[in-house]
Amino acid sequence: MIKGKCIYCKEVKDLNEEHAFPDSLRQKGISKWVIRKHLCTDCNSQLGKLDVVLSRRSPLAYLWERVQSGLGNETNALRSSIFGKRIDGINPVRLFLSNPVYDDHILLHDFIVESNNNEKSATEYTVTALQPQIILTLCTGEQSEREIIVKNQEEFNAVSLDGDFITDYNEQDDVYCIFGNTYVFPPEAANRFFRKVDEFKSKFMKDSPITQYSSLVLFPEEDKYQGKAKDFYNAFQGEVKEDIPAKKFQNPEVFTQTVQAVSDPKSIPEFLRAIAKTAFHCFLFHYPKFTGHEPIFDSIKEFIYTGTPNKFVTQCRNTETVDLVYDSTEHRHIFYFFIQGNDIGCRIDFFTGLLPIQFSYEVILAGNPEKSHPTYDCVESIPFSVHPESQIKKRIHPVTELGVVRKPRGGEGVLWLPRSTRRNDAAFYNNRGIDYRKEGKLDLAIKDFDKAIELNLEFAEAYNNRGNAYDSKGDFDKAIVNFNTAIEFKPDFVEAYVNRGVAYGKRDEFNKAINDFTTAIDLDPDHAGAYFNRGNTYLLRGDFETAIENYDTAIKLSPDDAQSYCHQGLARLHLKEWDKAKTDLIEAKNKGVDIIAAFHNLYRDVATFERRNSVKLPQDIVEMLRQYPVNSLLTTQRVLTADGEIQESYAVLELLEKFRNTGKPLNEYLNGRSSRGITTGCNEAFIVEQATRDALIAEHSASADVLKPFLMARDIQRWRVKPVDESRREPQDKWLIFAHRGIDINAYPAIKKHLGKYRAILEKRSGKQEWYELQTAPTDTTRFTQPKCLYADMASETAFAFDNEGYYVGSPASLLPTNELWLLGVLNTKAVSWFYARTAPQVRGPFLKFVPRYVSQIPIPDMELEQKALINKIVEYILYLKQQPTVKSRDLKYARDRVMVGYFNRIIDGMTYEAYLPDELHKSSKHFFQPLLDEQLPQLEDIQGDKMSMFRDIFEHLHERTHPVRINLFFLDSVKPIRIVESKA
Amino acid sequence: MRITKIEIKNFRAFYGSYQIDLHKAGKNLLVYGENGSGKTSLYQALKRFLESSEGGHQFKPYQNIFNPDDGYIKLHLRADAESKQDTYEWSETVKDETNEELLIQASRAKGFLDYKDLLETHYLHHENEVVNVFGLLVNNLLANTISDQTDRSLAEDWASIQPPFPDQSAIDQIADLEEQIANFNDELASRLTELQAKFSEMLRKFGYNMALDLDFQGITYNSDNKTLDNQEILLTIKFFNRDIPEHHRFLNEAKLSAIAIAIYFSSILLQPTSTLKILALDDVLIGLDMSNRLPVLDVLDEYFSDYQIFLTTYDKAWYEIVKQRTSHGGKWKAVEFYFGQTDEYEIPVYVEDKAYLDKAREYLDANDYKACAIYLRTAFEAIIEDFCDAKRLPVRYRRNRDKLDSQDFWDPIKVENQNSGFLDAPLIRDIELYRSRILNPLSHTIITNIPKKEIEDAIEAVERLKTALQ
Repeated sequence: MIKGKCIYCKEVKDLNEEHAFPDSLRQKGISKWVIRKHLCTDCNSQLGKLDVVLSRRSPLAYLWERVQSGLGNETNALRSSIFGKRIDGINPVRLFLSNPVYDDHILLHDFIVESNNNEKSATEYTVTALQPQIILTLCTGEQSEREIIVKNQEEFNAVSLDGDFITDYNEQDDVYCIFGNTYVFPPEAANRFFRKVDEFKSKFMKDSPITQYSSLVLFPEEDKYQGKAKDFYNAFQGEVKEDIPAKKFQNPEVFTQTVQAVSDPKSIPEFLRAIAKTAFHCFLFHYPKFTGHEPIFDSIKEFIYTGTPNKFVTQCRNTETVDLVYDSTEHRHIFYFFIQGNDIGCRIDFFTGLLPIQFSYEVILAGNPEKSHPTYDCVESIPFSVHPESQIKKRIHPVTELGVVRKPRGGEGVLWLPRSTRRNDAAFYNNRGIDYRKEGKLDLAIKDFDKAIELNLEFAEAYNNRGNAYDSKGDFDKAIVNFNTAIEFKPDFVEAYVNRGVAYGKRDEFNKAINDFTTAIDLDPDHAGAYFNRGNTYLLRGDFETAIENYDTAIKLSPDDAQSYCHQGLARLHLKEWDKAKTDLIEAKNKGVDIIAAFHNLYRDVATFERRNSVKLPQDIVEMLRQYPVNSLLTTQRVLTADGEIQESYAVLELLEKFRNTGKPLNEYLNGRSSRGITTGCNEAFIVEQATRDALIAEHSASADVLKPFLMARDIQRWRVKPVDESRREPQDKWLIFAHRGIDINAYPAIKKHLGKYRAILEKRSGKQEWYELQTAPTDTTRFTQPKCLYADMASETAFAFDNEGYYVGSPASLLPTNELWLLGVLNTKAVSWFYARTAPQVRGPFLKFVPRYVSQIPIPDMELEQKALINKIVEYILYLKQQPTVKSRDLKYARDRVMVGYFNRIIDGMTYEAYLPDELHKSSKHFFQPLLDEQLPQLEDIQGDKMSMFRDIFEHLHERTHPVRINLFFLDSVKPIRIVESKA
Repeated sequence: MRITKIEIKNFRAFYGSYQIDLHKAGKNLLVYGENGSGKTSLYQALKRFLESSEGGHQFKPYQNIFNPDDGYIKLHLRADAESKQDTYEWSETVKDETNEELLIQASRAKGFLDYKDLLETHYLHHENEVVNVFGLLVNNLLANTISDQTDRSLAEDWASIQPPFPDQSAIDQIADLEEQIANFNDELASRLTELQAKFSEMLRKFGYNMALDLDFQGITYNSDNKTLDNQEILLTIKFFNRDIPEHHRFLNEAKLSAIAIAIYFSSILLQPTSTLKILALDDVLIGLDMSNRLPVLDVLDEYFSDYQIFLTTYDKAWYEIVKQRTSHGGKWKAVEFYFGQTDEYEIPVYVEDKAYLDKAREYLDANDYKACAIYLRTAFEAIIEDFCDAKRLPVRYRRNRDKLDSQDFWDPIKVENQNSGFLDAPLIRDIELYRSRILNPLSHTIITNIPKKEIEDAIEAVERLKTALQ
């Protein structure tokens, strides 16, 4: 016990150890965030009550109770309240996890938190779980998935403010998840889905009074398909039950536990105090420079202690960054801290295992609470604890260090700036190094580990991590030296043995590798990873039986280890155990492993495998492993790492980093954001054709003021927009009724009459707009009327278009506020397509998905003014050419004119490569800017007379086989990084 | 930049190691080779070597199946006769060297045409002197030419619009496909326009005074049947101001072959050239009439003088003609490959300057008696044939020259010996002994049972014979 001055009562007393973050919400076995020299025993116990409030209020309580209570401790009475009927309560809270089909932890409940004030005191709340509700849409093949989705969006009146209503897409099974809980299935995937639902029902709802869960089937044309869906469902139900192993039903799991969160409305201030306290104490832990006695903290301390009217804690509405953080598989509470002058604050995102929208809070610890949100400069997180038997557990990666620093993918507001106060902390550098490594920034990671080791010479973990970083770089010698040191300082460092084994394996030193894995297994007989890696080593050595034994053990230890199944299956192929191999591979595939990629990484292709091993694979296995062509931007560059993850090859990661380092992200360059187009909520009503438009204007001339030329995603092509009809073949102009918020609809009688026809539908839209108003539309229309670049949400490569005709744009297309044509040129290159394909995760079939969040991260290379001017000039050529009749036609007589456009595009490709990779290109004597500058190409506007024949001359000249530009383009792919980008390496 | 030496070991048909020296100047190479003699393997060796960076550098699939020793291909290159010689290797263990920009660029701009590429000319359907050459052009002649728009070869562009085709309801994907098809059409149409001018000019060198028209209307996607329709490039002849004689089959296979070669040459000449320029033609002139073959040599001279040319043929007569024609100026080297066979494996027989005996000794030292015997026999046959040729000894006539065996040459030598006595009796006895035991084509089955000493003695006997006959 230390004596000292308490920060709250300011008396000198015995100071108590205090857990800055409530025990109950922290993952067990993780060292704690403890502050020691701050609170006296009395204040500590006084404030300790707040932790209880924090744990019990909100659905956090739900999880917490579930974790705390052992199995079977609940009374039946309580249980029935869980699955009781829905009462329209106050404050409904919807909870769901990502995708029930592909995650084992189905959490299909809908919850409401209801007040019990009818019977008992007005102070109790009950969390009630309703039956699972899934809204299914079945693809019948008569309409495309997309059409169904769009239709559903309209029917469902989904709130999709940014138009990004596809929240998940599973490429493998072609399943879409829209608005988080509606799934569009092809029948095969539906089969699996129903199986899961059935399983769930048997597991968790066996004793509940509700024996039937409702599956609400929503169809594009309800009546016509309703019956079909029922048959469809019934057919599967009978069939799949047999497939589920009986033992899975025996142990009712955590979900059968009843949950009651009791809370007092009066406790809301207490809840906010609890949040403030947590924020403040965690801040003190992370910034030891502050003692807590500083006068700037007086107000927040007073609030925490007494609960004076709150002006410090606010619930965050902007959840974009939160989404990004939670997009990962790790379950953590995230803390963001900021210090800007006298403004100090903290934001906490509580992990609830559920979408965290309601559970982000910002606390102003010092300074003016009225001030706008600053930039967070430090991000810390703490792993969240779940019940050992919970299915969520396996998604949580074991974490060995506290305070792992992480930066959300692509996050904008969250920037990492190292704090001076933490500069001398070895753990800090270690943690940041870990993050750098995860992002593929290996050199930075190694620098940080160097620093960590410099500060703490016996930091075994840092040596281990540095070893991993070298391993990722492919420098196995250095990696092994580091693992050696790690083991020297910590002889029972299991992970270090495993890592060293992996590194030995990569050097083909299989015996040493096996020794290391065996040592790891001796130290920790339950280490599934060690068995898996030992299996891999035997597999590579050609000892397939032993490999299988090892995989088998790995699977026994960790039954969900999909990679072990996959490799076991591959090992069995060598032994010609076709049936078993097939079972393993199917298991692996169902668990989410890309078995095709795994196979092709090990053996190139089926033919090679057969030739090398002198076998003939059975046809059904060949079908499973055959690679079908996908978007060529996405092929062949992923490798299987020794720890079984599929990742980009190191050359690719290095190249991505090079791209990033040449300039700044698009949004920084633009100093403005890319934004989504307008969501009407009912296209039928708001989008009209030329004839309707004319009629509306004829009916009342004022209509012209609100009818705006309009583009949808399908109208956006590379370089130019081209309004087309739904078949995408015929040109067709469209007009938007721009009924913005607050429009005086009576001033436009014709419009009002027109919209009135759709009034019933329009009123059903969600959102707060009047029935005649658009669902979302920016008040500031200059973004549409100004020159801008547009892009559609789906395309096989980047396809940005320039528009200076003031088109309004509909979601899901987006726009970039820029009139810089050279930027358009750069965006429409292979280099950018490649970068984008690798950094934006979502893909649908052969298409990449383009969303502002990722588009804004495209690095824009630094260029000289004259270089920009040159690209500008050629983009002007292209834009001009694109409007010429010969180019617009498909007449092969003018094929060469269109080839000319392609060639100009290719020239911009070349220049952009040169901008991203100047050293690499110049080393190979590939120059584009200089020879093109030497040409002194004319500006478009300066070309007199027949521009077309001038362009043809320019093209034929630049296309001569002896012209340096043609030669450099022709041989461009002999440069190594270009080979990677153009998928030739 | 020229290839000055080619070294090949255990690649495809090449059993053991071979060297072809092209001298400091990097001469063109004319190869005569019997079927199975390794002529095509040499062509493939060059091709695979250059393309190995695209194929992931896997050498193993091309390893000679009878010889387990790791094979390799090595090319020695010089910028010119004075400069330093660089060696590049491609084998299962050395893979990076063919990643050099020099070689990747050479591969991109290279010309490699073999008789298989022209086979399709035999299957083309004629209709009033109109021939659809779509397949011939897209799959063969233009397959490796590079599109300036996509930076892919035409074959890759073509492959990217092949089935499976999207569902009829997948409007986005169909639009995407149609876009790709439109680009493909544009690219091909534009390429054909460029070609037309060039190859008509070249055809005139072949002595065809006519203009050819390649009519391409563009392929179209039929979404109902899910097919690519209209795969047609119609080759039509336009004689200058003259109609085509009715019912006269002008476009025979020989002429089509000539046209095909002209198109191929033209397509190469439309692309930029690399530092190392290689043009290899494997048996492609065989389909031409003799009268059209010689103009090809002129075309090579005129258009490809800066290329290093590799010309192979199995037609001995043609080989002799070319050899004769190219013997001046020192730009060409002519070599011959023969076909050797044991009961276990086949082996091309080739050494520089007919040093078969040295090669035989080499194999003997490596304890490969079968290969040794093949070279020894080749040495023996070369010696006696050369002698008969030099002395103009009458040799038994056989309609099929290939049926001539060593007896046919040996007998006249013995007759001649009775007059001149240049062979002593022990030598004659030894040769006849070994001719029955080792120096005949049937000896391979027993050769493994023959002691090494005896093979050594046989080599020595042949050496003695060589000295005696010189």
